[in-house]
Amino acid sequence: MNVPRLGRPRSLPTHGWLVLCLIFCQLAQAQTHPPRHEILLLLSGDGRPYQELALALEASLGPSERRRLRLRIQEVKHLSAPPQGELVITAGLRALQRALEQSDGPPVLATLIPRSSYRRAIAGSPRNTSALYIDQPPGRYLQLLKAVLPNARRVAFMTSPQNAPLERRLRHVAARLGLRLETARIESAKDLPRAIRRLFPDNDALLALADPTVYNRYTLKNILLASYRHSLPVIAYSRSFVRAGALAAVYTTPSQLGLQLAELLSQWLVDPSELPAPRHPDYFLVEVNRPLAQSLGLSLPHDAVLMDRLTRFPGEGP
Amino acid sequence: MRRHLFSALTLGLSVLAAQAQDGYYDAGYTEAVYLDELPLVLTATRLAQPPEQTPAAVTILDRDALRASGARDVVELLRYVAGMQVTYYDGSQPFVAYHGLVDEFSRRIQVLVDGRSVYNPLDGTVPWNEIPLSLEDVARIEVVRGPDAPTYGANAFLATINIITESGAGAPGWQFRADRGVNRSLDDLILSYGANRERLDYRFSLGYQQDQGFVSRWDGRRLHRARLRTDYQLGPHDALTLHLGYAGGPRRRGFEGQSLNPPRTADKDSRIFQLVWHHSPDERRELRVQAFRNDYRHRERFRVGPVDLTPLGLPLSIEVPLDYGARVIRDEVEVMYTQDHDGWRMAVGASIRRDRAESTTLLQGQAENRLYRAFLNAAWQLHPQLLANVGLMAENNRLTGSDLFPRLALNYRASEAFTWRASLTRASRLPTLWEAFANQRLNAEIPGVGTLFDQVNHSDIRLRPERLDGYELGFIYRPHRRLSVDYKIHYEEIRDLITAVEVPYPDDWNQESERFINGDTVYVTGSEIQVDWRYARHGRVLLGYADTHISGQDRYRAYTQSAPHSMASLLMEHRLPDPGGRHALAFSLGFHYSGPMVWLGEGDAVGAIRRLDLRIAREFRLPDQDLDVELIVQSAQGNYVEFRDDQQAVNLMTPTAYLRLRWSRL
Repeated sequence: MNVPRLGRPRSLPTHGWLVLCLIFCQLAQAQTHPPRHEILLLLSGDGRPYQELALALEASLGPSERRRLRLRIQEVKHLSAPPQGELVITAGLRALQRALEQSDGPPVLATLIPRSSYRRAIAGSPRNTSALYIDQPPGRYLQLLKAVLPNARRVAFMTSPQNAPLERRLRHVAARLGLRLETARIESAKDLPRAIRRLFPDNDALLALADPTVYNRYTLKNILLASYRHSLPVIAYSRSFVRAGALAAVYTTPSQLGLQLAELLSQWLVDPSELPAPRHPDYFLVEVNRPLAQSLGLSLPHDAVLMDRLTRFPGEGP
Repeated sequence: MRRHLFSALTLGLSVLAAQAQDGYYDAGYTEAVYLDELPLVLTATRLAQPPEQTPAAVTILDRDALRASGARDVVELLRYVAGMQVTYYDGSQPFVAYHGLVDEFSRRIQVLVDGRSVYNPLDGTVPWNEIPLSLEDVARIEVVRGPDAPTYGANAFLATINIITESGAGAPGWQFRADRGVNRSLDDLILSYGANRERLDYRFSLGYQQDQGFVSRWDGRRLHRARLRTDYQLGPHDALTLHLGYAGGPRRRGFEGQSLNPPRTADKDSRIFQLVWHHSPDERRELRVQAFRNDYRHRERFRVGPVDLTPLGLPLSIEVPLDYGARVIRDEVEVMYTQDHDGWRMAVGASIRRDRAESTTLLQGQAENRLYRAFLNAAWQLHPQLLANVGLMAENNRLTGSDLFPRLALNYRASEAFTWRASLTRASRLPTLWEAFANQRLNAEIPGVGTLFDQVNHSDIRLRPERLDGYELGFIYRPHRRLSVDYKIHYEEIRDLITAVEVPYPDDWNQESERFINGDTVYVTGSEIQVDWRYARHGRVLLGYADTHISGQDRYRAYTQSAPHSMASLLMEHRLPDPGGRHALAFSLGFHYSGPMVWLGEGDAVGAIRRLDLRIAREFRLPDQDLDVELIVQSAQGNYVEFRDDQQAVNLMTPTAYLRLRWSRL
């Protein structure tokens, strides 16, 4: 189970009525085979990512899990009483915060959430929690960097003080891969121009990891224009970042999280007293900006080759 | 938020302020960071096209080359482009040509600044001094060496110079440059500031430039430039860019002691306005709508004389008032849609342009032309190694009617590093408003006799556009990111060259006048090589060589001698940073060779030119400031004749040294 598998997201219709339809099916099933375990999937909103995740979870449950589970899906804003059930799965930060409002209650499995936000949200909470993060293990970003830019040695990295724990993990992996991390601390957007000036001319790549202080829609233009001017390829964390002008990204879709959640649930059913350990996703996709690569004079391996290289290196644990 | 609203209001876009509700990042670090859409920054129009995929040879001059050259303006830099001829009619009127056929009204290349065509439709020249643009505003210059009418329309005839300017986000902070002549009077002061405020980027620059032109000539210039560029992000898919600019000032013209060309001062300026809307539904599609206006003014009134009329049997001498003034306005609206798929790419669009000119002396009134265009450019990956570029532009205008410019180019990627390129292109050049409506007449009131006039030139036939069929075969060798070699051989057949010929004109006082006709046909062959090599992290060489041969009958002009048989240029920079990276010493060397040739029109034969430019710079790097002190010597090898006219003027370039101080602060 720890060996990540290659997987494109299953193509799923995303209409809300389908979710309802599936819930009806569940209810119909419930009457014939009374489920043993009540599970609540609590969504932070009704946006497309949440629906995709819910649909993928529903669709990926096997027949035996379906017999033994009763899955309710609810949005945070429609929740009137504290969340009930034997297990609460939360999709998104808001749902997790809501589920943790009470000091006691069912165990919580959080997903669609960045690791650092999960850590912050559960800090001080006595509840039994675990998580399937939305972000990749740090090593996977660096593996992508190595696969795309085999000659890179010096990697620029900009981080806010809040992300310092990540930087330590990253530095550790980078050293193993023969990469040197050149770091700049960004406390506010004001620090960016200075960091760009110091880091961009003399490094081989920029590793951009989620950090809204550093990367947001307002700073993005500055960073990407400067990266292009210095011919500095950017390795990023989301598909839209690549579309905006990064060279490549590795990311996990909500559908892929849904798929893995279904697997975690079947694992949990074996021993409902124990939650699976917090983990990064096993499924992921790689997006590459080929027009940019051509413009920079880089020749990149095919997508399949990149996926293959990344899957051969399992990401390390939590 | 308040600042945000403020910036929206300053743009007069208050409607859009309603969109200013972004709660995403205030809520903290949620999953939205991974899932949200982001504005597209490096869209196809912002990326330089890889040379392996372009249908023509392209030379790219980036900011490093700009800095290393020590140049004071864009024209000086163009000498480093293989095959580019740069000279000066006088100190304030540079002109640039490619593959010869050039007089002081250089009118066979297209120049675009951010997609805005800047040549003067009255006489076809590029008003280099009046483009509101300092070197500091330039992000990159892409020179298409060869005809490119299928992309840029008629007038992208022999070459196209694309200048891409810097935005506030691309060059944030303050920049300042001061140049001061050591052995000659010369001053440049440029101050610019760029900033990125959430959705709004802006950048302005102010410039002052002054020099005394060539030695012992009355051709100094004084220029003021102001420029503003704002980029406003309307949403993840939409952006508005606004450019406003002014450039102008007095130029000295004429000669001491020449009564028919007396020393005087001309005032030339230009104002530009350009608004561009970009809409990118995704990273592979983009709609671009642009509207612009160029408004040139030229004021030059003076009196010539006294003119002795005794040869005409009149025992008197007169003074004749002249007005070389002109006002030229170009308006254009263009819509372009680009789409990029795996395996093919296309750009399709249309534009409407109106050129208006008013000139008392040249036209005796006004002239106008309207131009309608539709174009399609597509690139198909026929095979993993074979790319076909097909271009077609249909054009209709009031002067010459309808025209079609096709192009076919094939790029064959023989290996990762080596690509062959072959292309066939057709292009045309429309007559300028002056060529089409010439009516240059000097009137003199003579007491007791009446009005005498001299019809200097006229146009009384419907001119055809000049036509070019170009064939090119070349290769690009890019073994790695630090070396690129571009070589080509080319052949161009150019027909119907428009020229003025002397014809009898009975009412005129000397019974003669020049008339514009479609004249000679010429054949241009040659080869060119351009090498850009970063041999070390701190060292770079840019090398260009061209040999050009023009054949034809030369019935009306000495076209066959209008390009040097061989030209070479070299720009080399080496930097020695100290280990701490706090300061560096940089040296650059620029060298040019240009064989003997003849400048047409008022120009004359010039001998071979060898020129050496040197630069030494001390660069200081502080955490948020840069300070460079430079000494630049142009023409360090000694004197040479840059240009000579058929009367007596000689533009003698002498060693010119200046000190440069550059400072920038974030």
